[in-house]
Amino acid sequence: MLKEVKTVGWDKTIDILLLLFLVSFPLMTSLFRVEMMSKCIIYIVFALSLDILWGKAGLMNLGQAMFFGLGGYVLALSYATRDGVPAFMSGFGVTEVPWFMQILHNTPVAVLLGMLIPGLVAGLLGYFIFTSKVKGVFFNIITLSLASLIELFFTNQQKYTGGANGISGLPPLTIGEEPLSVLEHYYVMLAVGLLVYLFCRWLTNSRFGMILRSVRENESRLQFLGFNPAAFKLSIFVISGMIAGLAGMMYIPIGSFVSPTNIGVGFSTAVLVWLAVGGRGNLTGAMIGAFLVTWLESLLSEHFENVWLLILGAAMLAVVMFFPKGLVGTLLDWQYCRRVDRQLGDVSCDDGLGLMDGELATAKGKV
Amino acid sequence: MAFLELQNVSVSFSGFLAVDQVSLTVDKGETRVIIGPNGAGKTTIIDMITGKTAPTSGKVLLGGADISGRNPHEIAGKYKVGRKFQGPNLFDYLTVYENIEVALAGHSSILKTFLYRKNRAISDEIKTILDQINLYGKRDVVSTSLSHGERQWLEMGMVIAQKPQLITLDEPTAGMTADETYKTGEMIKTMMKDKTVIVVEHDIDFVEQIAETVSVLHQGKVLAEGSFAEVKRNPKVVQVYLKDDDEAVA
Repeated sequence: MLKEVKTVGWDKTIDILLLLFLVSFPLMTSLFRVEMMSKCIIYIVFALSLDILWGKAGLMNLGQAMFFGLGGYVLALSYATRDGVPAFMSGFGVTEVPWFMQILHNTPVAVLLGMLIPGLVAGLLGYFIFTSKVKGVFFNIITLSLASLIELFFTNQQKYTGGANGISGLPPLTIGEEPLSVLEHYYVMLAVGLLVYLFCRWLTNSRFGMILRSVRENESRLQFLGFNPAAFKLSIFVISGMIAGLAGMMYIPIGSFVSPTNIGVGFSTAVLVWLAVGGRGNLTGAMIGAFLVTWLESLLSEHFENVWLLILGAAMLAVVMFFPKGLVGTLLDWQYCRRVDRQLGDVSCDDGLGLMDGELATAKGKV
Repeated sequence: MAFLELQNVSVSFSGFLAVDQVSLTVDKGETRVIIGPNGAGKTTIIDMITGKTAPTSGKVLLGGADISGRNPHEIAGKYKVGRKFQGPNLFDYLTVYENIEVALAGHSSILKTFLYRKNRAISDEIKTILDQINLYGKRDVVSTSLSHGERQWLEMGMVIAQKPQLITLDEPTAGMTADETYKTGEMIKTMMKDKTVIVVEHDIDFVEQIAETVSVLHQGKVLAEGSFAEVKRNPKVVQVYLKDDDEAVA
């Protein structure tokens, strides 16, 4: 039976180890590190949002941060305008909080809109992009320019967004009367992160996920099997945008500020790098990549004030050169090859059929 | 009663007439082979039936409904037309099993992909198909590591999984060994027994093996039609093929 042949891939094992590590992390270290790790969890959620889009459906969004930033700004404005007109607005002669910000004062509404607005923007963009059959590099260019456009827009709308300085001094999460402690924050973030992870696993293991991988592999073939690829691409674009928006909102109480750097090209590129380092198409790679790169960034900048960027760059180059499919991707490919060899002696993994140089298990998503 | 009917269809690509006023009727349950020299318009006819190309003029009727110019996914999903491409066209880094599973009929809207649960009936169905195309043993292998012939068969399996009313096969034996070609012919005869099948083919032995009716296409027009024996004797057909050979020599 098929069930018996399918062994559990190492990606699942790594996921569980990562979860155990994150759960027990606060027991091992200082509150300062715990706060750092909270940010890491948010970046992991953000990386997951791109992996279900790029890794699974093959849609390389070069402007993923626009959804992150939109979610962030919605929640930030919700907090900032609650006690009257904030300083960055009154400086421009705004005397009253505009109506579209007043509706954000209800926290559940703000949280809902923090996901719906990125989702809606993704839906609109996706509708025009996918029904007009824009593909490949043109999709990349459009998303890249949109990211820089939206960054410019948020920088220029100083009256409402605080311009290049962004919005700062945002409060931590409050449940009941008291604001949450660092530790409580950490576990709230971890719980949300776990939910997003489980959702992404469910989504990508479903038939929907399988069709997404088929879109990535051979979109035109799919049409002749009765599928409408544009509808699938649009759906995953919206879902991905909403998760990125959620990650953006999670960032607000921890980072306590939001600025155009959270919405633009630079941050969009960062998340691409995380996925390149970890490997795409299997959620584990995205999480490991986000975790390793952001954690290393923090540690290196503490210890090597001047040259940390150089060291980080060299490390990334090394990964991309020696493990072009990312750390986890390479591991899974190796595992897949061993299993195929064991099962059918005649199909060797390096028999020139392109198994080694192809995309293989990374692209396959599950082994 | 004609199941598929092409009424005076023409296709021109920026002035070049690929298909010129072709009328063709195929009955339900029939296996029709379309032959003809290169550039005769065979693949273009398949393209029109499956929605890849819209006819410039004329109509394509399937079971009485006009399907000319509709989207490929609509023709495949709603009108149940399956297509095997020339040269295997698969989902490369999906496993053999997944390739068949993707193609399964009746789970192609977004909602249905969420509601889909793999139950006993579905896995039995997939196993049956994989057994028929001799690939059950390789079900967990990504499709790029199959041989060329196996890839062709996998795509035939996908077409079967689609449960189509009309099957179009564009050169199903291209690049196969003689042995593989023969096996493919038997596969078509057993797996697609009660279906309406249109096959575009070059290999004359293979045509003889499977054909019920043969249409000969030449320069975008139907040159002859009939049983294999009739067509083979037809002087016009002989001339076209011989002339082609002359050109090939020259």
